[in-house]
Amino acid sequence: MTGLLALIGAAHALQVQIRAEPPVLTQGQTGSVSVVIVSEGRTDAQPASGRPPRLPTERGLAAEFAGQASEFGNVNGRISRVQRFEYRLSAIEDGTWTVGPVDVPLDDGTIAHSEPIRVVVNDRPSASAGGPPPEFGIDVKFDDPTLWEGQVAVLQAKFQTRLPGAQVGWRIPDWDGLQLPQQGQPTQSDYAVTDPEMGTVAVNEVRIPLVAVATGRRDQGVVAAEVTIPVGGGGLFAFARGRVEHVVSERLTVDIQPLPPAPSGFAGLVGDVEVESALDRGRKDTVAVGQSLEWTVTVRGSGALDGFELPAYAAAKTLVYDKGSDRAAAFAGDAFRGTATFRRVLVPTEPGPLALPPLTFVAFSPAKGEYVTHTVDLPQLEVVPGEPVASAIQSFGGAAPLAPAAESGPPAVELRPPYPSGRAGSPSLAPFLPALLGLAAAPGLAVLSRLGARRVAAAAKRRWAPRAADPGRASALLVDLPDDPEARWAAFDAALRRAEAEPAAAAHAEAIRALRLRLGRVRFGDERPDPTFEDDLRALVAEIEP
Amino acid sequence: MMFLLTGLACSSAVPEGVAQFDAGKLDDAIHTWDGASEHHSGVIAYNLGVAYYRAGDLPRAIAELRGASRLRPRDANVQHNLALARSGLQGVPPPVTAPGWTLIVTAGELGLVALLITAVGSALVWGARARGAGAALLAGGLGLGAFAARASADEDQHPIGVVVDGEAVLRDAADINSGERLRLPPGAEVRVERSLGDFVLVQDGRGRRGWAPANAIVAAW
Repeated sequence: MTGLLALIGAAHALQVQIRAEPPVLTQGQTGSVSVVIVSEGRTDAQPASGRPPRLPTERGLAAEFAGQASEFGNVNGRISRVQRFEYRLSAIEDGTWTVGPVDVPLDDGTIAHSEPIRVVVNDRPSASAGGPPPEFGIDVKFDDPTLWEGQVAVLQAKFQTRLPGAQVGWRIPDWDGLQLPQQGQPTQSDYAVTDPEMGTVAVNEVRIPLVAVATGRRDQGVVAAEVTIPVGGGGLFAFARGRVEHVVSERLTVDIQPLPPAPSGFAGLVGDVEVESALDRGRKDTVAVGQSLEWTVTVRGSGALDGFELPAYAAAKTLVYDKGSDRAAAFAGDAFRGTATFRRVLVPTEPGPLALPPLTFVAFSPAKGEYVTHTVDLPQLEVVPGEPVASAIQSFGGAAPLAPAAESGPPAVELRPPYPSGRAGSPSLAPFLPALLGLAAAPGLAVLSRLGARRVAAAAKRRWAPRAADPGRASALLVDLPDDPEARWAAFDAALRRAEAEPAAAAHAEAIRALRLRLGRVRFGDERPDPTFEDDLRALVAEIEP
Repeated sequence: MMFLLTGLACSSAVPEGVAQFDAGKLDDAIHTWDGASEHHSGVIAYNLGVAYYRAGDLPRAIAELRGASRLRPRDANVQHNLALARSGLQGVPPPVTAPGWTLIVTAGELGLVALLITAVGSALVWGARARGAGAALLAGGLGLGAFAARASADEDQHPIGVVVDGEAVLRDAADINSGERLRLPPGAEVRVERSLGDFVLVQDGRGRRGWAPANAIVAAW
């Protein structure tokens, strides 16, 4: 959808397009056709009604409305609405048949018109004796394996399966001598074809545009497809199991021919293009001196228009300004089409007849295998003197017009002078930044680490000392000792008394008595410190309590 | 302290070069500024850009001004002269753009801010005043510092380069005999991805990549 918006967005108006998937059917098959209407939400007129438009078909095809959808997209910052009407298309008779055109009445009274498309219906071959068709398969190829340098080739990868629910993931190789264009994205579409013999065939099709950027025979390797096939019913939580199979294509090669020596005026464009030109003279029949004439040149075709620029244009008695350009590219059916729109402004500077010279550029046509000169003719104008009225000044895209420098003179913008003072060197902080950050963070991280370690230790202590939670035991009194020395010795006294009450204390009477003497000496005697008392008490309690 | 001394010791090169520039001795001014320091400051890079522009060497002017833009992103004079130099070239692909935040701050400034935030956060945590806020500042400062270090390393490894002196031929491989992909005119700005022997892998503003001779590209930093 994005590609479609990109291509249509370049024209900035409501567009109606018909697309068939696939564009080639076999007699008896059923494919699908979409009528897509793209409009800008605020500026464009909208379809007068939401009913599906009538889709005419020739006798070899039959179309039946299947559903519709609407979504919004963003193209160049403008919100666009895309309405899609789906039709089932049945192939009745072999031949090449026309679908459309489609006319969509708009709410401003006008009618938007789409061009018809062609759908090919092939004759159904006689049933082969080789057994049932395969469950799935892939078909990968370049639309044209023989290219010119700079030409756009399209890689088409198609996965077809009769297995319901089968999914495919593509693995695309690294390209040799090819690269993606700047404009235009690969597309992927999923559709179903109903065949009277094969049933419903689900198709996943990928199209990748590639520009030839080198010459010679280039091996692209293979395209691999990873196919996931559901196996059995839904498992736990309705997740279905699947088996994975891998399929690879045949080896893909392209032959890229170098372009012949280019004539002068070759703009670098390789592709078969059409050029349109429009010169807006406003609503008046005459042109006045100083009047701005908007000149739009649109180039459309099969080439990569990314880097293409129109040659400079100069005309006597005329100023030429560049007003910018837009580029877009997308797939239209199987073909990759690019559009480049160039806007310039012409300003006549003298009254009288004005013969604007044509604009020419040379492009290389891959279809013809030769260089083609494209000429854009401009009408002859009659310029009348302008009236001296006040008007708003418009400026276009920069200070200087596009006329050659010899005619326009040096630019009026001045170079800013050098700075008279300042540092000469710029030592970099980057090599020292990690170390400095570490130094700055060290105190805080140390505190946080200590706090964290304390919390972890307290949690571990609570988890691994369940026996000490029993308030009736001596070991419980030794878990959270107070910091105050007086209270701490009182707690030792209480713990020693609890330990004496244990049944196993009789076997440690001498040790208990010795600790009792030491305790009394510290608490009530000369108060000399006894640093090993706590450790001895803990050891005794551990022996007494089971 | 070493950085300070280095900067102060060489700062006389700036006015000396300006005097030569004003006297019309552009080559002398360029030589003076170019030799002032191994790592040009933003002022030196800007002045070199001005001198090259005056000497008519627009590609080198653009290279120096891109280097100045990296060190002085908020300097309007740098942007003005850079736009002026670019407008003097024809048929050049669009320049390689840098991330948007580099138009406002440099990676070094981000690193300094990160260092400050980290230090404040660490001090708050250490002083047990506002440990929660301190921890948040500490984490934020370390995150910002990591980003700044990464950005600086990325800039050093993938500098911007400008094609100078003549067309640069981009090839499929780092080999003079490999296929030619495209040609970039003088003044084309590219990003250098890596080097191999006498070649560098570059990417232009349109995303086109190829191997170019290293002597055809001047790095902006």
